Amino acid sequence: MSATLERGLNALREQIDAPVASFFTSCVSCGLCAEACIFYRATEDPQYTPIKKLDLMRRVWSREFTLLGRIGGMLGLTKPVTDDDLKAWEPLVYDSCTMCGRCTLVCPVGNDLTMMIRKMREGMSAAGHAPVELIGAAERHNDLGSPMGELHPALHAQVKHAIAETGIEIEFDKPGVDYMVILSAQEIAEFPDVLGAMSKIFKKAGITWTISNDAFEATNVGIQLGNRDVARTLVQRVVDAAEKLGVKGVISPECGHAYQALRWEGPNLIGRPYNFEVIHIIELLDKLRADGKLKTKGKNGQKLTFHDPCQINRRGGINDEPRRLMNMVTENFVETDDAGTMNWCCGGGGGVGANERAEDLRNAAFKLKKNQIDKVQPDAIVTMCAYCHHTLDNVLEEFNMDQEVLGLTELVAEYLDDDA
Amino acid sequence: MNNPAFDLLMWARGPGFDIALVIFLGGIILRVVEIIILGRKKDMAPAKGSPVAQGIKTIFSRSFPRPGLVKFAPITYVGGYIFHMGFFVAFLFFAPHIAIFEDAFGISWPNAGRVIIESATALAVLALIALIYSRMTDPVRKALTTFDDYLVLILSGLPLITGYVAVNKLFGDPQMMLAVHILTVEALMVAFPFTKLMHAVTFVMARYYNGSIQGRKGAES
Amino acid sequence: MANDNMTNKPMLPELMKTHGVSRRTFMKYCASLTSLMALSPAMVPRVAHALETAKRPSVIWLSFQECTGCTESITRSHAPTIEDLIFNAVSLDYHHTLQAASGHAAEAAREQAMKENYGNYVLIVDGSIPLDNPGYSCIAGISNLDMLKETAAGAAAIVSVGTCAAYGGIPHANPNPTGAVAVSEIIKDKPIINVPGCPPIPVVMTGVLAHFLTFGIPELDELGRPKAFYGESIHDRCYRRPFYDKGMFAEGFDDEGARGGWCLYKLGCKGPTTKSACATVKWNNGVSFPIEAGHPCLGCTEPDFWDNGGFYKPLSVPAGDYRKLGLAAVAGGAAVGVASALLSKAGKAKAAKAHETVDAHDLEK
Repeated sequence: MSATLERGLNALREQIDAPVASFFTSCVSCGLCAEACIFYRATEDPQYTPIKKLDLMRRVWSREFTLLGRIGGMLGLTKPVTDDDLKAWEPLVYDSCTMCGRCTLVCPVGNDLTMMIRKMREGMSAAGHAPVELIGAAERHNDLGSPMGELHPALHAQVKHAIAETGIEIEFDKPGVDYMVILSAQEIAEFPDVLGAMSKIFKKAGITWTISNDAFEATNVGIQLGNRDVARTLVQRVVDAAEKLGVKGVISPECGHAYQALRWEGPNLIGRPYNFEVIHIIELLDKLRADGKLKTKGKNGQKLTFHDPCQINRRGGINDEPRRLMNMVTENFVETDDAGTMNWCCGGGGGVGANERAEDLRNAAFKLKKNQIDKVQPDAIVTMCAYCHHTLDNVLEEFNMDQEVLGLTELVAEYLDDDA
Repeated sequence: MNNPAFDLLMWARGPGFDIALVIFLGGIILRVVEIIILGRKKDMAPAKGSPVAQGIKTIFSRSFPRPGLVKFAPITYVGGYIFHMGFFVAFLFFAPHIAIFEDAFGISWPNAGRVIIESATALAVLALIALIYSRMTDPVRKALTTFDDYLVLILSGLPLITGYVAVNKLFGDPQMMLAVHILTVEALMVAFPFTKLMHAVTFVMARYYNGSIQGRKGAES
Repeated sequence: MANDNMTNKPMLPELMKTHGVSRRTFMKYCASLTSLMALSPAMVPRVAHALETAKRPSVIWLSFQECTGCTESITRSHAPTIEDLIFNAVSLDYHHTLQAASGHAAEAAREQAMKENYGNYVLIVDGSIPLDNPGYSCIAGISNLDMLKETAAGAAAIVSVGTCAAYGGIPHANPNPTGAVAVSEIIKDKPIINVPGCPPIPVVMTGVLAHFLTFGIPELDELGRPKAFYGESIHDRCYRRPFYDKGMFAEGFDDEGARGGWCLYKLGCKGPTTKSACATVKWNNGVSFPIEAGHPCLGCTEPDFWDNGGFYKPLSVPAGDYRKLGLAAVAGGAAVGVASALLSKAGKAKAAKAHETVDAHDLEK
C-alpha cells in the first residue's frame, strides 16, 4: 500500500471536528500567533505564521464542511487541495513547527493551533509527505522495537551497569509490581544514568518496578509523524505489556512526546481507557516528596536554571512539580524570563530535531532560548526531557556556550539522603 | 410630494432591517449549528484538571494577554482593544441603541452621555485606521490579509463614522444621515455570517474548546 | 396691481384707527414679525410700509380633504385684533369657514374674484386632493381636482397650508384609500410655498403671508418650505437637548424622567428628523409646544409623518414586524445548519470508512 493524495485528504477529513471548525471560523488574521512562534521570531519570516501553516486544512474544511464553502467550490470560486500543495507545505508543517504550543496560548480568539498542526500532519503523513527521517524512525520502531533500531543489547548493558553501580536489582518483565518503567531511546543511548537514579530513589521510597522487554520504548514517532495508525500500534505495545504484567501504573520517563502519546492521546488512539494509571517520572518524584518518601540532604551550589520541555509543562500540565524538586536540592535556582508555562522551546521536539532539512532553521530558532540563557548566565541548565537535553547539548556547543545540561531525576538522586 | 431621504429612512427601518435581520440571524445560527453538530470525540484520557471549568474560565481569561506579549505587536493589541471597547461603548451605551434592545427584548440598561459615546466612537475609528495601516505595512499582517479583512474593517468603521455624522448633523439632511447610518449597520449585519465577523460569536466556542483541552491536562490556557 | 375692486376696501391705517390699535402696537407687531423671519431690524419699516400700503390682494382659500385644523390654528392668534387686521389687509374673497356667504353665492364670489384679479390673486389651499374618485371630495358638485386646476390657472402664487395640502397629510397615509395627493403633485406651473404642520403654527402662517406681501416668495428648502421657519430641526433648538446629550431620558409618561422634563427620544420623539419652528416660536403666544408639554414630537411638518414607524417608536428602532421574522430566521438557519452539518458528517464517515490503516512501511509514495 502506498501513500496517495486521496488517502491523505481522507485522513485530513477524519480529523475535522467541531473544535477545528470553530477555530477556523474564529480566526481574525491578527497574526499574534506569529509573535509566539520561535521560528517566526528568530527569522522574522511571515511564512512561519502558525495559522498559515494550516492553510491547507482550512481549505478542506471550508470546501467540504461549510455550506458556503461547498457552494463556492461548486461555483469554481475555490480550488481543491493538490498534491503539490501538500508538498509545498511539508517544510512549513514539519520543519518550522515543534508543536511547542505557544501559539495555542496566545491566540486571542482561543484557537488551539498546535492541536491543528497535529491533525494536519495526519493528512500529510498519509499522503506520503512526512520527512524521511521520521518515516525511517517509524519503520525501525515498528520492526525493531525502537526508533534507533535494535536497542535491546544497549538497554540490557545499561541496566547491568546501573545494577553494578548502585547495588540495587533491576528486573525485567516482573509481574505485579507497582510500576512498569518505559524509557526513551535517547536516555538509553545518551543519558543512561537515569536508570541508576531511579533505582536509588525507588528503593528508598519502597516502590517496586520493572522494565518490559516487549515494550521498553517510550517515544512515539507516530505523534511527531502525525499518524494515528503508527501511534496506536506503538502505544498498544506499551498497554498490552503493562496490562499483561498487571502493574498499577506506567512511569512515563523524561521524554516530552512520550508523555503526550501515552498519557493524553493513548486511550483515544486505542479506543478505551487503560487498566493502569500513567504518571510522569517528575510527577511521581513530587508525589513521593509530598508523601515524605523522598528525603534529600545537601544542595547543589551551582547557579542553575530550568528549561521546561514544551510537551511536559505547557502541553502536559506539569509546572509546579519540577520547581518544588529544584528547590529541594538547589540553593541557587534562578528562573529565566518567561519561565514556566510560556517557556521557550529548545527547537528539537515535534520531529524537527531529527529532520536534517530543518537543521539550519532549528539552529536559528535557538536564538530565543539563547537570549533567555544569556540573560541569566547560569552554570548549568536543568531539564526533564532527554530530547531537550540532547538538543540543548548540541546547540549550546554550536553556539560556543559552555553551560552544562542536567536531568532533574539524576540531580535529585544525587542528593538522596542515604541515611533516611 | 415626498422626501427621498425620508423614504430611504423608512426603507432602512423597515424592509432593509427585515432583510438584514434574516440574513444576520439565519446565517449566524446556520454556521454555529454547522459547527456544533460536527461534534468531537469523547476524550477518554483521565482528566488531571477540570475541562469544563477551565473551558468556561478561558472564555473570559483569554481576553487578557499574557504579560510581556503586548510589546511585540503593540498596534494589534492596543488597536484591537481600543477598537473593540470603543465600538461596544458606542453601540451598547448610546440610548437610541438601547431603545432597540428594549423594543426587541424588553430589557434596558443605563446609558452614557454623548461625550463618552463620541469619544469612544472617535477612538474606535482611530484604532481602525491604525489597524488598516498595520495590515498594509506589517509583514506578518500583510501576508495574512485577504479581501475579507479589509471589507470587515471598512464595514465596521462605517457605522461608527456615519453614526457620529448623524448625531452631530455634520452635513446634509438629518433624515438622510440617519438613513445612511442605519444602512451601514445593515450592511454589517448582512456581511456578518459570510466573513470573519463570525468570530464575535464563535470565539466563545473556540476559547471553550481550548480551555477544556488544556484544562483536562491540568495545563494553563 | 391697481384694481378697481381693491380701492373700495379700507386700507390698514384706517382700520387700525377704527379698531383702536395704536401705531405703536402695530410697529411692535411688525418688529416681532420681522425678527421671526430672521430679517434685520432695518427691515421693520419696510414690513410696516408694505402692510400699510399693500393693495390688499385678493386671496382665495380652497379647502379640500382637510379637517379645518389649519383654519382653527390661523384664527387662534395671540392678538386677535391684529390678526384680524392682517386678514383685512388682504381681501379674503373665499373661505368656507370664515365667509358669510354660502351655496351659490359663495361660489359666485369666488368666480368673480378670479375673473377680476386674474393672474394676481393668491391661492391658499388646505387639505389634500383625492385622485382615485372625484366623488370622494366635491364642492358645489365640482371635484377638488377640477377646482384646483381651474383656480390655480389664474393665481400669482399658491400657498399650501398644512401637511395635507403640502404633502398629502393624513388622507395620504397608508393605505391612502382616496388616492390623496399634495397640491404640488397636480400644479406644476405656478410657484408653490409649502407651509406644513398638522396644523402649522399660527404666526408661521401669517408670517409667510406677510413676507409674501412684502418681499414676494421667501427662500424655500428642497421640500418647498420657507427656510425662515423650517430651516432648523426641533432637536437642534429643543430646550431639553442637554438631557439628550447627558443621556437622561424619560422612559414613560409619568416616571422620574417625564416629571423631570428629560429628553423624550425614547418615547418616540421625531425631533431629530423634523424641521419646524415649534421649539423657538412655540404655540399659544409662546406658551409651550408638545415637547414642553411632555409629549414627543410627531414630526408633523414632514411628508408621510403618519407612516414614520409610529409616534411612540423611537427613531432608532426598526419599524417593521421584525420579531416574527427574526424567529423564523433562527428556525430556518438552524434547519439548514443541521442539514449542512449532517452532510459534513456523512462526508467524514465516508472518509473514515475509506481509511487505510497503515503501518510504518506504508508512508512513502
